[in-house]
Amino acid sequence: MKVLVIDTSSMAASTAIFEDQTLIKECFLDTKETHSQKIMPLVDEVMTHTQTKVSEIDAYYVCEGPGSFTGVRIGIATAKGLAQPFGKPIYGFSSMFLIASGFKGVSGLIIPMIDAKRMDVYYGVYEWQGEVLATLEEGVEPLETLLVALQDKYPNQDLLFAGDALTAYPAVFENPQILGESASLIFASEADSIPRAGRIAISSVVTPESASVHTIRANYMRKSQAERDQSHA
Amino acid sequence: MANMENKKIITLAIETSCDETACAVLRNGREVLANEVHTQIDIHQTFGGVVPEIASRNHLDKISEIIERALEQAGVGFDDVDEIAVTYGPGLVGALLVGLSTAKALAYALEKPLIPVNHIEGHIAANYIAHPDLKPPFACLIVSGGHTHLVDVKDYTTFEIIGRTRDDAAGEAFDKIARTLGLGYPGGPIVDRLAKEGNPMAIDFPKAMMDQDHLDFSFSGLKSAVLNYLNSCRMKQVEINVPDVCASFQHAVIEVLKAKAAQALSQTGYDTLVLAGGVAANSGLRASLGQLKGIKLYYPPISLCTDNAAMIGCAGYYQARAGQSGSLATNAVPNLKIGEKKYE
Ligand SMILES: [Zn+2]
Repeated sequence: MKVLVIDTSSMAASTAIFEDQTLIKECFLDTKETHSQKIMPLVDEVMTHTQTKVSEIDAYYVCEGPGSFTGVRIGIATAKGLAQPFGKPIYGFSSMFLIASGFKGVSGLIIPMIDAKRMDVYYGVYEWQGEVLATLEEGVEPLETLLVALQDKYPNQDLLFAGDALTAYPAVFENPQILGESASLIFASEADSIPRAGRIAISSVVTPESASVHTIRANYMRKSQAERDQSHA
Repeated sequence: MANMENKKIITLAIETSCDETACAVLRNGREVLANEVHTQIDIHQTFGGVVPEIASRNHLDKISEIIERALEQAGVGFDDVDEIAVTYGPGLVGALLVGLSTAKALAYALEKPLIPVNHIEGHIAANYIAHPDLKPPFACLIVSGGHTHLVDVKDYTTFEIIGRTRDDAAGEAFDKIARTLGLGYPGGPIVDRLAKEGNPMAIDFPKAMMDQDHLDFSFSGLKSAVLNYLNSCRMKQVEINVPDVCASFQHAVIEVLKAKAAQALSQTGYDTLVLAGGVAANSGLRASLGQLKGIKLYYPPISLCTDNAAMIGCAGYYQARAGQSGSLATNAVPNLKIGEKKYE
């Protein structure tokens, strides 16, 4: 059972191959080139190194967003093109889930936050329940409102924050008081805040039976600007 | 090598440069086995024009289904496909990237060449599908929402621009005037229909650059003249005769296009004029060019004038025969020019 994982939700692009749930090869590239230039060479690299043919891939796991709208689409379109000729399923996971996956076994709540611009963040709250990374909630909110809400909802819990919102809004996180009286507060390093395909908690991804090239959708978490303008008009 | 001549080349083509998600299957370049086009026009109509982000989202949601439908319609499987042609520019970058990313992955999965195609060169190739006898060289007049060009088509894969618009494309002027008159979007077909009921001599709109000996166009002056005319009617509370405005405006556009096309033929020495692009569907333009003496005029049927993937497949077929193919790193080029190759 071989699976190919693709992530293009941040500036970095990455691919990974898992065999029977074990990572056997990962490729990561955080350069200025576009995802369109990066992702297929990265797919080719993990395939070549593991001597895998596309026909031998049993399933695709792709980051469905949120993040860069165009980046997310490039990743999903790539998975669609690879999966369609052989009728293989495509499973989606969120970019926050992927970041949280990197903190295997950490106790307490893992809360990745991705900059959604103008002080908004895409966020998720996750918790390891045994071997399973459970999703408690996901959404997009103004950062300061969200921190107050989280404090109300999860009082006195160990919290681990990760994601590029930490570096985008340092002033907010420099003042831990607004986070209330958590049992302990950890801020992940910048390196651990970058999504990486090889870190995915693969057995925790929800894999519906009907998953296919036709059912996979991007999870933008936001309407297009034109739709937002229209609803405000 | 003997059976090479009998070999049937199957080209799978994908086009997502604007608001149509399209996939086609062709045999030997000119025989269309399937030509699926899913238009998003009703989604964009509520915004009065194409919204790039919404177009990209809809392309992604539809692309696999359109590919599946095209193969089914053609009665071929992925195994039968010899090459994947795809539009990589010009167009909306986010929209292009959906089709291009899908096509690159498909080509990789099938271990077949990826052929990146220029959308505008695809519009020219639509004529090869419609006219089995048509061969380059010829002069081509390309008129669409974003383009007004005269091109010397030297062979199937060699193009030289010999005339271009210096400001607006002709199609843009059609859309703008239709919008100002409250006629809806897209403007071209509506103006064309109303023009038939109007008097083309009713209003004397300017015909820019008509008598100059270069092959370039300018439509911004005409557009402003029409808008000024409409404004002054409203100021003076004179009733606007919409069919007359449409007919007179369209007449001015067509007269310029006709004069420049005739000039292009005499300059290149060709006797064949080919019309391409969305505005090639304009009945007034077709009729007027048909009056040019001593030339062979070709234009595609309406179904091949608007964006489709069959034309991309045809252009890609000839590129593949010329040994032109892309790579895993091929990127979208939103402002790609006719004749440019930017996919190595
Ligand atoms: Zn077009």
